[in-house]
Amino acid sequence: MNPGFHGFLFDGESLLVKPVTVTVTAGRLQGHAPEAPEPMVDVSLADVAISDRLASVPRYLYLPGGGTIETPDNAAVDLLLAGQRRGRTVALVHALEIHSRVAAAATVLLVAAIAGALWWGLPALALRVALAVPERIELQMGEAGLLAINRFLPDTGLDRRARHRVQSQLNRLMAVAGIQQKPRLVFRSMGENAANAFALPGGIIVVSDELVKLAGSDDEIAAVLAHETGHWQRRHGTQGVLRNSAALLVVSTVTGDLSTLTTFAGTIPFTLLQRGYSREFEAEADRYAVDLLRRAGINPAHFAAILDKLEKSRPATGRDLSYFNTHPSTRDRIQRIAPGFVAGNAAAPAAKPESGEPFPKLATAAPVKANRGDLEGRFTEPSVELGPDDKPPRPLSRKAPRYPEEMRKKSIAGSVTLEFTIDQSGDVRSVRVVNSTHREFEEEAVTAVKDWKFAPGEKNGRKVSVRSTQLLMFDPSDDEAPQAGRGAPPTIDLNPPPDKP
Amino acid sequence: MSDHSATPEQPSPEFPDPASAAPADAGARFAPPALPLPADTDTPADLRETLQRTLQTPPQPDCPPRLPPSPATQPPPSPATGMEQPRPSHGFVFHGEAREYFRIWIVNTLLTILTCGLYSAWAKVRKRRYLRGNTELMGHRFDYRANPPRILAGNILVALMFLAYMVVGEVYPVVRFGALLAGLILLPWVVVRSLSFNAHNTTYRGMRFYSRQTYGWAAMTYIGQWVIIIITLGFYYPAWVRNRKKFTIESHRLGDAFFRFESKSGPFYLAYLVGGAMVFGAAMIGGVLTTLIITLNGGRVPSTLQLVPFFLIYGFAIYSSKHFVYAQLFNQVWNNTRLDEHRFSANLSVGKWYGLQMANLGAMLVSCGLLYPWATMRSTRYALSCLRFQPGGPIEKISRLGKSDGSAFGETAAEFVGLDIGL
Repeated sequence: MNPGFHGFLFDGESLLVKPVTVTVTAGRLQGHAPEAPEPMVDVSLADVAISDRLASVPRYLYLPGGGTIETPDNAAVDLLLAGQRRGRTVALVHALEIHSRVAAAATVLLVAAIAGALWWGLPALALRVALAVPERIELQMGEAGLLAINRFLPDTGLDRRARHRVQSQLNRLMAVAGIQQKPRLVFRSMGENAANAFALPGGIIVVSDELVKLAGSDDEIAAVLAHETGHWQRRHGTQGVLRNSAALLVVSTVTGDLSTLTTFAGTIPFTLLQRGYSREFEAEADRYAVDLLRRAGINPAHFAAILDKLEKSRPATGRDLSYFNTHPSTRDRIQRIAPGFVAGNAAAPAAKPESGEPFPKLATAAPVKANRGDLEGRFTEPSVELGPDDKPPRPLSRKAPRYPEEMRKKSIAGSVTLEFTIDQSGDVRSVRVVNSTHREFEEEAVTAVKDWKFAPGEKNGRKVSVRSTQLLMFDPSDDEAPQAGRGAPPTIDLNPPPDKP
Repeated sequence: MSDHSATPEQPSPEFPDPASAAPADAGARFAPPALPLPADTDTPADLRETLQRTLQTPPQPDCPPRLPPSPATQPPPSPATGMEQPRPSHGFVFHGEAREYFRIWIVNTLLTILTCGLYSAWAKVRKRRYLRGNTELMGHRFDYRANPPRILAGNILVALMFLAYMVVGEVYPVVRFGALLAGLILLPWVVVRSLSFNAHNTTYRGMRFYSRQTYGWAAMTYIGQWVIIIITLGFYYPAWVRNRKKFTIESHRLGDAFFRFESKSGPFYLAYLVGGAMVFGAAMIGGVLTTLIITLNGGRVPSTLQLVPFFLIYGFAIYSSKHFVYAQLFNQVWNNTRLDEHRFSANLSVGKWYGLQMANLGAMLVSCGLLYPWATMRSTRYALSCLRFQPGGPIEKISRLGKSDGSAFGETAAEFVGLDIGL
């Protein structure tokens, strides 16, 4: 049939090597020693297992009975297999392995596939699984975590009044969010410089005494609670565990085995990945908090203010290496939460009219229609970022919006949050509704704000345009028109004049 | 788990494990003996030429052949017994090429990902076959014959157990201790099974290697001696490494030829002493540097950025000491390993090995790991070029002896467990 090919016969009994010439005739494979008439091997080809083609590695014919023939003649063996219609799948893999272009394409695909799996596929899967985890299990995870914490953190030193203050803020938020099962508040003393709060799975929010003391107002406490509620509601704890263990599996599959992780080079991608995940969680909790705060009628600037304070209360180490920090750089977060927020005026936004005021009218407000998905997109960066030494815009004239007649008749309260630019001449431009309790209020709010006049903001002594947000409240219990009559009607919080009484 | 330790999945002792990079795939393993040797030829045709070759040793470019034991330590050769006549010496030759291996690696890795990991077992077998199939001794290559579906079954089981451990352990932390305890008890079994699986699937000249060991001795080596390490505050560690080598190597045989390991603990202590001194020295330099930074800082805690030089020095020292120890132990282990009357000799240069590994580290970091196949090929080629086999007689006499088998589960479990037993 064919002229045959050369190889070596090992009988499996010893390491003895016998050179052979292999021929295949009529379905039988024969191996002849040089010059010998009788074949040393004579078996049915169907009984011979043949090793797969792999680069130019020698091929092995595994004979029934334990013998092996080794041959460097890959081409002849391939021909033999092709005639038998055997080993086609492996031949395909081999075909892929020998082309440089395939390798180049595979490299690109591989990088894309890994990135895609780690950044989108895996988190999406983790979210689904996390949402499916029963609350009972979540709570057990939380209890376990709390138990571990208790060993390190002493009990709180706060008095009942202070704790009650925090609890009432939480109650207020939960009412707005419509969450029936309130999270459990746990107070712990964490020591100096440890103003902190975190959420454990199952709805346990741990707040440090130092945080309560650091917070300037109830609204700031509410802001922190809203953020932690976000972690809990989005099940970040469970998701994190799932993602990290799954990522570990993916990384080890790619690199071959887990021991790679113990080497320096293997640790880097994994660590970066974990950091990235936690950044993502922080950003999501921030968005949740901003949304919840708005619905509760609390200006997100309070959130920015407490973040700023937290940042300043920490020892100054590596603040700028944002990717290596668990939390995204605080400045980025603040700008996202309250564009235009000026760090230097951190205390100012505690605008009198709203702080401490109960919000019964908003508690029952209809669901906010703000589309959470693009909330972040609407928060464009401020056209100019103002530093602590720069002058924010100062309001010169602010006309209150007209109360829509129909709403007044029905005694419906509500609020609208607007975003707009205060340009170099102090005029208001590009007004957009960030969210509102009722669509009916929006038009009046926008109309009113367009007529406002400011002393423009200044940066380095030059007039600049500044992006800002504004909460306008509609309250039918106030007599004359909307709150036009009051000294400081709709609160302007974001860039309040420093000299405001 | 570092490279120089015989990870449980390694069938052979200290083989040219491409160091830090590739414990799992360090393919070519064993080193049994016999015929003539084509040296520099890189084509498969060399096998054919082998046919006509005579028994002779080609010179090795990288490492000078090691001479047989010097007369000072050995009794002078006695013509009567003929035992200590100068032995023939055969080098190991590695034919793998970085480009070729890269193509195989990338295609198989991609297929693994596209099949959600199901292909991983086939990929592993192909990669390992490439490494062993390109390792030549005395005119013939090694072969790896593992059955992918069995590896896959083991993979799936271990992945499920791992996920369950992570998730359940989060809910009931007590389970973690229970699981760790169970893992500890299973460890000897895992070690023995994976050694067996790996050896059984490695062949030379159509003959399988075998690894047979009692669970009792495995438990003694991997658990019992760890207790001693803890009691002695780690001073027993080098002796333990030596004992583990002995355990691994002496569990192996090829046909009726048994592997023997006859090293004392002293050289192991020396290697770890020097390695430890390197790390300690770097820690001192790092400490002085940090103090300096703090002083310049006006007493404040330095930022992460300012600590970078410290991390660099420390990481560099750990990496250096690790490879220093690896190179030292590579020579020590192979020079004291026998296969019945046949010997091995190794002459790996610490400096060269170290330079190689530094370049590998740089390449891996810069390429985000894509140059891993290149690093593997370089490491394996160099390590193998430093290893020689010195038969004490015709190796053809080595014959079959009984049968045995290994399960894929043990091997894969060992790769996961490998994380925990390294230190």
